[in-house]
Amino acid sequence: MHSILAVDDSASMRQMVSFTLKNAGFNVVEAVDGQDAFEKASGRTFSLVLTDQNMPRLDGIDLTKKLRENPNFKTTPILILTAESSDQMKQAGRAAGATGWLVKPFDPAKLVEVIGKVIR
Amino acid sequence: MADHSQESMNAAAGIDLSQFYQIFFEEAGENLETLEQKLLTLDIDDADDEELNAIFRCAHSVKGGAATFGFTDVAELTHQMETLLDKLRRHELAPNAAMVDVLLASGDALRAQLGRHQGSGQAAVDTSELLQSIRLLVNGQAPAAAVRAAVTAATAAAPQAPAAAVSRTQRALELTVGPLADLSAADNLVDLFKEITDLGIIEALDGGRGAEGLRRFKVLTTSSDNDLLDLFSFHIAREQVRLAMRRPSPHPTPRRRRRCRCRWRPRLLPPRSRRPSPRSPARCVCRSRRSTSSSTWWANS
Repeated sequence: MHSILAVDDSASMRQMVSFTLKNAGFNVVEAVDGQDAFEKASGRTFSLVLTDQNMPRLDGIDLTKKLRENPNFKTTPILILTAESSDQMKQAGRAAGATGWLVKPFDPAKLVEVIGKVIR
Repeated sequence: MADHSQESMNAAAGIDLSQFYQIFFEEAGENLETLEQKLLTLDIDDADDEELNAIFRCAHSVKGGAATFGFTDVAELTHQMETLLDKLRRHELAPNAAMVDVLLASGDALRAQLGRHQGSGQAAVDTSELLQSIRLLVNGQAPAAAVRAAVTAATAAAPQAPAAAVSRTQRALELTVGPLADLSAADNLVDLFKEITDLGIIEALDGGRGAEGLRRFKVLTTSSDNDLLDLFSFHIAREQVRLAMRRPSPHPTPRRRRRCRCRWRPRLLPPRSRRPSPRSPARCVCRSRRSTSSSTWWANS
């Protein structure tokens, strides 16, 4: 079963994303911010990382940069799911090594569809 | 909320989003509380980047959830707030008192909107003037009169406190404690503000390090000096505590508060319209003092 690291400082968003992914058959590990995610990613692998951008301690783009330095996450798909939609931020995400940028609000079915394509 | 469910079901393509509403409402309330506290302590002459980022995150987080769960009015207002806050954190605009006032008024309007979505039965909140004022501020062209009108309108639209409500002005004080043999004893006063959230906000000065047996703090509060000294005296001898006015708060905000009717001494309590946070005392300090030992009540557990 694919494991996904779901990162969001918002508990409601985290729960909703987690519920959606579990419903779709994924194993989900939740993290409350980028730093928490980075620590949970240490010493293990995930099939995909789905992260919010604006978070305390470590944001989604900086998390992506740090994960890309880890050999275990060199090729792991990293999707940023955020209410940020500026081109500047998207470019920063791409430069950091993010695989994709999804804008909130989102359709859960669409999210599952995108993740399915990326993981494959 | 009933009118919302079908929309949510459609948006979620089969997932009933209403199961996440309650946690969103709680989270949004906490974010608005944080936003308000940070705005009240914001030094508009020398705004700290991290503080501006934290304020932005509060509005951003509420917006993201509101948009996802379909609360479009909340999403619209937080989106405008976010636009203004984004310009502030990027230093494209300098913060001023009018911006703080409009953002505080927006916070009140958001509470009313969220209350309505939770079934408070209130009429829809008209935020058109607030939205217009924020747009003007974003464009650097907010006439003071427009901002005042928007704030007044938003205040009128926000949930009203009971008739006994009082309006108090926020005061900025400098608290000096000492001389102390053990400087950490002053941390008990910080814990007091954590336990009694309505007491106000306390921030350590001098980087939290004391000098020559003295610790200094900045305090934002609506409580009187006597009330504060009464509370502080549980931990620090009264003669070791000095309160002095700092410069007046640049944006005094009308606060809706109610008073405890206990005999010991009336205290300010949170507005009835707000659900107490887990750390907020459910009852007046004086009652707690009578019914529990001080070590139990004041312990920062």
